[in-house]
Amino acid sequence: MRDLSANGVSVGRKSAWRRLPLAVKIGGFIILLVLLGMVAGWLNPTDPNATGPNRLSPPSPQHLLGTDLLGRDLLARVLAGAQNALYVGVIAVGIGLSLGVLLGMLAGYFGGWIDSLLSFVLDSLYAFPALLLALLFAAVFNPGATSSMAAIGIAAVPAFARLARAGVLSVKAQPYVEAARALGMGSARIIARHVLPNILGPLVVQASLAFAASILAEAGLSYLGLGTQPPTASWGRMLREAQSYQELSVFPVLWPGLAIAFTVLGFNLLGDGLRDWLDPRRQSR
Amino acid sequence: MWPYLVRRFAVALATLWLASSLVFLALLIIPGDPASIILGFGADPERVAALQARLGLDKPPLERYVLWYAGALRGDLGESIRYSSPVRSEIARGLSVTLPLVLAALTLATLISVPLGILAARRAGSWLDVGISAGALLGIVLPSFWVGLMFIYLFIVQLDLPLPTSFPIEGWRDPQRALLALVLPILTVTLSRSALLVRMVRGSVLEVLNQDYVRTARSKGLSERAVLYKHALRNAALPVVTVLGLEFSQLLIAAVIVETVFGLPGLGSLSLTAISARDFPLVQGIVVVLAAFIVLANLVVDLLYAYLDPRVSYA
Repeated sequence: MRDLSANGVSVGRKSAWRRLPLAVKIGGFIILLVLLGMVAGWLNPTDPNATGPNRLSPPSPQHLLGTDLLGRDLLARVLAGAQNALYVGVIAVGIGLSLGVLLGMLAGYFGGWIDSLLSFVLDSLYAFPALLLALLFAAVFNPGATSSMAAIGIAAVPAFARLARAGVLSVKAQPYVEAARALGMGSARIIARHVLPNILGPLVVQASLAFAASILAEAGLSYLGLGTQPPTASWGRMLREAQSYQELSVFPVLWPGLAIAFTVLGFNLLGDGLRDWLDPRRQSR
Repeated sequence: MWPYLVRRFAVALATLWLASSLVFLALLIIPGDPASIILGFGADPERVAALQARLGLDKPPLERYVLWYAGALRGDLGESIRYSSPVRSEIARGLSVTLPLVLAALTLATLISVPLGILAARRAGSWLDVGISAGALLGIVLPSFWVGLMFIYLFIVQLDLPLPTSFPIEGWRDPQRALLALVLPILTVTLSRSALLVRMVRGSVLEVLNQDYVRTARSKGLSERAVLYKHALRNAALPVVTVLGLEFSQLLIAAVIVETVFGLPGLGSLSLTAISARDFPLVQGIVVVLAAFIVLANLVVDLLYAYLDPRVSYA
């Protein structure tokens, strides 16, 4: 029988859903809406980059969210921005997760000087201002989505590595790992079979929170002109462009900001909720 | 205590050396020759060579490295390529905007979030807690630059408050205007930092209130006040102090976003220009100064630890 609960108490599927914290449900719902928005952006016949005669129009039946200075439809641009945000988030979190878990597990599993060296490097990276890293990346490579995703991903590595290392250290001390080794299992197999499944929960939580942070970071970098380059619609870039004429119309500034906040809220709620749910101290209730 | 301080100081110097060397290396591999970039595409090769000589770029990397260190040890960080002025004075000018901004915002954020966080933790689960936590979450998900833009729209465009929208060129020699120009930026940074800190303080206090020694303190009949101030808060302060130290050094650069919104010529904006203009001496100088601030902040945090937690001894 499938066991969906974290603490080993057997519960059926339906009550597991009921037991999920409200935050997880709301967060999941918001993320679903963002995903739907992304799909809607693909299906939407309005080209997000097509300019039109109606400049700076307020929300109207033709342009539900209004238009910007060049007469581009803001709804189409906000939806296209969702594609961009999720794309950047997936890549950045992918980099942070894979590199972080790999390095953290190496450090925790092998210990000794490998651990000392990796921990030193990761701690230094943690203290290094993430934004300066992004600035340097933009200088070494050309500013753009790729360099910003790489910088955001690398800045996320230490948090994942820390979790993986701590998880490995606690799992490594378990009798079943000793038993596996006594049976002749190799390191790679022990890590894959016994260690990884046991640290999956905290990693999922961290991934969700890192996704939220990546979207905020990408918006910030695009706002500075170092992230996604025009004409691709990105929320940060839209804010950068709209700032210069915000006395004329508030809508080009309003929507991208709300879109960022909404998406980030979804991933934050999901991550926070899952963390509370997985926390053994909260299970006794 | 003293041996500890000496050791800490040695580590600090080593960190500074490491950081500056890494940046030196990074700048070496950046594509593009600064001299040709400054003079523009298709510039006269002779003029490029002359500029290279003036900037010392014709010398081998190792010699440049040694020369730079010889200067840095005397407090001379070289000359900015873009501004043709000493790097030191450019950084000082940037800091004169960013330091007041960051320090004021972090102080305000601490003053706001510590009481709110304690309140939320003590009434955990109550409507008050839900309200405070929801407010904090809102502050976290709203991008700070968007909040800044909205502040401009609300306070300057709509309410027409007499706040300057850019920092005065005379800087602090026009103290009133400089101060007014910093009001909205400080408010913006305070809002986003308070949100993070409230959650941090709340979690930290909640954790401590569940500890055995707090139960012991209560069961021996101490007043709630004494439990809170003598036993709980001191312990809860440890992680909060760590975060504040980290926030300070991160914010010196992260402030660039808010600086851009409000047109402030701070350290963040300076690094942005320095990097896009391939102004290597300036980039190098900023990183070293920044590393020095990070090391300093860590040192202050460590010393505060010893003060807050008697178990930590630096003998």
